[in-house]
Amino acid sequence: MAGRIKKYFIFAKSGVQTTFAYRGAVFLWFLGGLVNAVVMCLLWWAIYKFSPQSAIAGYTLPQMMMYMILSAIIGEVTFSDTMSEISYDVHEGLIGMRLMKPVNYRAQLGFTAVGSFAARMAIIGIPMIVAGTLLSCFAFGLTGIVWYNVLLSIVAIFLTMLFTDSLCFLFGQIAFKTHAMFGVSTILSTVTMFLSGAMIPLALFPAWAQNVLAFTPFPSIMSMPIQLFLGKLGGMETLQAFGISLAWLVFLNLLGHALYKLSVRHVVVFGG
Amino acid sequence: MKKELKLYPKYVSMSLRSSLSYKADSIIMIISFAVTEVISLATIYLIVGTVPSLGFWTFESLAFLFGFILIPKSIDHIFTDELWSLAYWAIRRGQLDVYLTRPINPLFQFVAKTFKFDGCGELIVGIVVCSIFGPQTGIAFTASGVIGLIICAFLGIFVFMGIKLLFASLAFWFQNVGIFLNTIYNLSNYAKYPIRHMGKAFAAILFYVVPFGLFLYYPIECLISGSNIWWAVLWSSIAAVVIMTLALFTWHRGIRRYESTGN
Amino acid sequence: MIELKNVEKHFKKPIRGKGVFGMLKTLFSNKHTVVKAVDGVSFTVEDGEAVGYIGANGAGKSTTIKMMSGILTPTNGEILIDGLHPYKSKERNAVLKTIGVVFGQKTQLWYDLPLTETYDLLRYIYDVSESDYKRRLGELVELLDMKSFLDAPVRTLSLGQRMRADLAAAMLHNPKTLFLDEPTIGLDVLVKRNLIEAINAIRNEYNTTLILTTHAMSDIELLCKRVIILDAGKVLYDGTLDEVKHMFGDKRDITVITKSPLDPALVESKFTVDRVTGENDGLLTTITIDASKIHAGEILNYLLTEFEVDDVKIAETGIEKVVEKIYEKNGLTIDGVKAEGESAAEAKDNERETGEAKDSGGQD
Repeated sequence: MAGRIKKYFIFAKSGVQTTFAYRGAVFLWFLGGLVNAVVMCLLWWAIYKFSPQSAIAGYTLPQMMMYMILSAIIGEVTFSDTMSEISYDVHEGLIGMRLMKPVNYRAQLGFTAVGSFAARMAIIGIPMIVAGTLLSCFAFGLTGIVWYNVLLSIVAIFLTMLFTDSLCFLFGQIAFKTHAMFGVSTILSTVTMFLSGAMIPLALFPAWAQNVLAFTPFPSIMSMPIQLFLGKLGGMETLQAFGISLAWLVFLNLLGHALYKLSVRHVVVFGG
Repeated sequence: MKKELKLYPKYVSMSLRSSLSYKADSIIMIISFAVTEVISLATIYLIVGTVPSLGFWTFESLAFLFGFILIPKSIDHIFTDELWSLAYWAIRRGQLDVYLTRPINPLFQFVAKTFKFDGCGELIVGIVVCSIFGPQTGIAFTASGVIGLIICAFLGIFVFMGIKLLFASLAFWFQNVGIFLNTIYNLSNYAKYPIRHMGKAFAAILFYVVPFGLFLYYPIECLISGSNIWWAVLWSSIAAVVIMTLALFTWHRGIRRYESTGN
Repeated sequence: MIELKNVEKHFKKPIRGKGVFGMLKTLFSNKHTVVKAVDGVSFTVEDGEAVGYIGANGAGKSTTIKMMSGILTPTNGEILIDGLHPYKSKERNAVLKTIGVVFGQKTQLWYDLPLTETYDLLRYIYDVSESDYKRRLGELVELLDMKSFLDAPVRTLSLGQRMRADLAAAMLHNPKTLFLDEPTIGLDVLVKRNLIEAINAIRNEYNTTLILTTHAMSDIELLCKRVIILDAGKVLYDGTLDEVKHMFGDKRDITVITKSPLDPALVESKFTVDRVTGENDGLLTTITIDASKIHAGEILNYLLTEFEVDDVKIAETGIEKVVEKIYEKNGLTIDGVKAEGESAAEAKDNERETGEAKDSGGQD
């Protein structure tokens, strides 16, 4: 058992190393996240200046600034390569070879993704979160940030990464049917970003939409970690939120596993 | 150059026949486009809904702006979709080798390889939206205004193309710049907002830092506010020339340091 | 005529720190090592000559070919193909019209369309007239035996068929020079043999200048009289293939696993062999022979009748052995010179590892 886990840690390590090897690309990510955060903050800054109320959808201006900064960081950090990996393996005919190896394909991809997440978090995530928080607290006057919420939200961001990765694996199965994975991944990321509240806090959505979304995994992806960070969730709510996240993760992975089994059977029967 | 032009129809026909083997892919791409645009529309709707005063902007004029932006964007999409693969993996996997061994422009060969017919869907949506909402915007369409607008759209194609080529070429130095290009490209969505009314700093960034506001938003603002659209034409031409020059320069510098990895 | 004058190609590789802290440090440091993939290579190839360009993985073969065919620009030195530089943008097109290139691991064929479609496109790219094109395609189809798959989409072809198709694509415009980079890689013995015979047929027919890289000596026996052996980016040997064979013999390693120990002296007394080494208490024996002096079959026959043999392997002496011997012959210590070569090979490996994360993941 220990040996088996160790085997998968090698994949995590390779994820870390790959990320570090493309340091230029990582800095560009950093830059992209920064530009995105700046534009979104400016946009909301203007909206708050126009608005007669001091809070929109329950967020004060400093909170909204922090919201947008966090959203941009989470967006850059939790990105997963899993879908393009599957698509590469399937379309280059490597999937058969992968299946013959005594390694669980899902776990291999997952651990690699965890590795690159860890590296990205170290290079971009943590420095940007610290800088963003300091900026929001001292320049915008953000209050109500407590250390344990910050730590918990980092755990929640890890879950966000698992969500992206699980969704990528689930929808990556479409690669067995089509070559247009670029389109699939665009749809997935756009829909996920929007419905999880990356650009617009979910509280601004119409009531009916909020009710529907409550029954989907989307709020757990972006909205939850940010609300947790901002101290908007009480103790019980936090516990509940983590419970819901984990339940969805288990469900998405079971679904992904089942679909994967189906896709693979297809490969075996038709010889890939 | 003449040879390239003569070859282009051949490439288009080959690309189209290639994509016939993947009909489902086109459907997915069209759905992907529809989803992206609907979500971008919903985002604007929700955000703009919180702003009390929009000056001369009405729902109809914002829709017209939305449609107008689709036109240069979709035409660029039809012709240069392959540039995305340059940003993501073509350099990392050494896929430029083949083009470099043939006696015609490698950039031409690389880009001509893919002709994205499904982009026509976006183009049609853009034109239809423009023709529905155009008359309702209260713009007095003069011949000069329409010509100016068409020129802006035409120049816009090259700005989109240039931005894609410029940032994708960074992959010669940084291997995988796909996500970065994606982030930059998606900033074009902000040109769909009534930029002038979203604060000075926001406008400044979209006019001068990432010039999507300049060639996408500004022409429409000129028409609606009754200013001279030829200013927009001037700015768009400057943006197009500057960005295309930078892009081609970066590509040429990049191809010289191309390392042809991945065996 | 192809001339290489002191050609060098350097790649910059960042120095990577060990451990998490080291990696973080690497992130901000701009230190890098310069790897000389090709390090002062000079040679001349006359028109109509066929040259085998051989060396181990990472010796710099592909890099040289890529410089000769306009893909890479040399860091130093000069490459002239009939007096023109393939990597200079003004001279590029003129050079490229006179050469054809085939990469064993990359195809220039349009993946989802029949072969003829790519050929037709190439006809326009290279300005081949319709009548020339028709005649030449006809000849090549005949020569390379391609009739059966001419109208099938490229994605349905086998690797051997694809290589022949790529070869035809590279020959359509009647190039004076043909560069083949590892054309036999991944092919099984029979298909390999066929391909080499096809290349030979092309050469006999058109008198094309041929430069072929490979890491297997046997590939070029039929094709090339002249070989250039490359190691660590430097030319180690440039001369006839016969001379290489004469110097080092045409060696074979016969390895047998036997049920009971095999006495080396017994074999040595019966046959003229170079060396017999026993491992595993004599259960695993390697017999090195000179194929020009004795047939491997004779020894095998003897071993199979006299001993209970579990497994047999016959291997041709690898290029690594030849390289090693050349160093010894030149009186150089392998370690001294080799160190650089290894670092080049290592850099290449690293590159692969990081370039394709999934591959390194797969091997682990």
